[in-house]
Amino acid sequence: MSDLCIINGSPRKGRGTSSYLINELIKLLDDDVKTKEHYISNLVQDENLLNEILSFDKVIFVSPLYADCLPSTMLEFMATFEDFVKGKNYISIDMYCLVNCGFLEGTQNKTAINIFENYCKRINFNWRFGVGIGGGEFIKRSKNMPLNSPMKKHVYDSFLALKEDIENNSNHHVDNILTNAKIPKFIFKLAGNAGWKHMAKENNMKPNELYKKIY
Amino acid sequence: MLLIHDLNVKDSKKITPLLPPNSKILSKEINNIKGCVGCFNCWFKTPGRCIIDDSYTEMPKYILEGGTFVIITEIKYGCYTSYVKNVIDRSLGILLPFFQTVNGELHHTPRYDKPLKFIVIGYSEDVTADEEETFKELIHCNAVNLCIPDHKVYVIKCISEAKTILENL
Repeated sequence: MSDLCIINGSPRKGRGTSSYLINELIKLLDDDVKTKEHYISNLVQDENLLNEILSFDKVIFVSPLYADCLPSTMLEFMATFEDFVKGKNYISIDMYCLVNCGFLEGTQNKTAINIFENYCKRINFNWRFGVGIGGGEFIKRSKNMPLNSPMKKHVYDSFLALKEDIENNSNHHVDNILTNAKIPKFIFKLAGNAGWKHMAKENNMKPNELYKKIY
Repeated sequence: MLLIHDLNVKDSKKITPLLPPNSKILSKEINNIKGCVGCFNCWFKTPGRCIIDDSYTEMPKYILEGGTFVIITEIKYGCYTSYVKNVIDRSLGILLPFFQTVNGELHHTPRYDKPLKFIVIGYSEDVTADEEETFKELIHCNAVNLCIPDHKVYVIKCISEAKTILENL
């Protein structure tokens, strides 16, 4: 049995893809894995909650990808938590991360995962591995297509790898996993670009107005 | 030139006189910055302009007017500091939402076709080899994503080294 602290770094909180992915992960975990999710905006304001993180066996940082790395609020939390743990005695906690981006390629999350791994060394946690998911928004929006469907199988497999490692106290090395839904790139691109035009209409704008050059 | 930095007041005073006249400087001293919330309103409500009202609302304008976009940031875990990253996130309107393929990967298309320069100076007294590698990789990825292929990244231990870099730009 183990317990897992989930740190949700999405500025969109419960409305974000991170939240959806967290729920999917929790559904997969055995009932005897105790989980607790925190939004970073709550953590940075409460030293008791920061202290509580240190009582868990394992922690997973979950974040959207913002400009090839992490949102500023996540970076701020990380620095705050690093300062908080400095000089404290605590048992090394297993650390994972789960990063998702809107672009199709899971590989685009590589640098963000490396940042988490560097951070893990700074705070003396025990790095396990990171998962980077591409096409995150698509995965969330296509909720009716379950995670274990053929198109999303690679993403599902990465969640199974997280489940396996979280539930068992293994020390063997696991490589970071960078994956995405199985969609031809040109279809993802066409559908994405059509989706942006649809968003314009939803905001009472003509698609051409999206191209405005105001400066 | 546009300079974004997270230097303390003492170091800032050493660096800023080296900039060309009419350069714009954004630093933590302009401390009303609010966080990017990933709302995409800079694409779908006020295209090209952030919807959050503070001194960072018109970041795309400052980048375009500056021509050379310089960042001086402490390296934290191979990344920018939180303040600098926030300024970058608040600049998203300089891109369009639409996708293009660059080096086999999807990225956003540029809103403007003005050629720009992107110079990033990362400083840290105790940066590790892994952090330095991650930082350099990040700046390269950002240059691709911001559609500014003309970019350079420097990693320095002491802020005085930034002087030489700026003088030779």
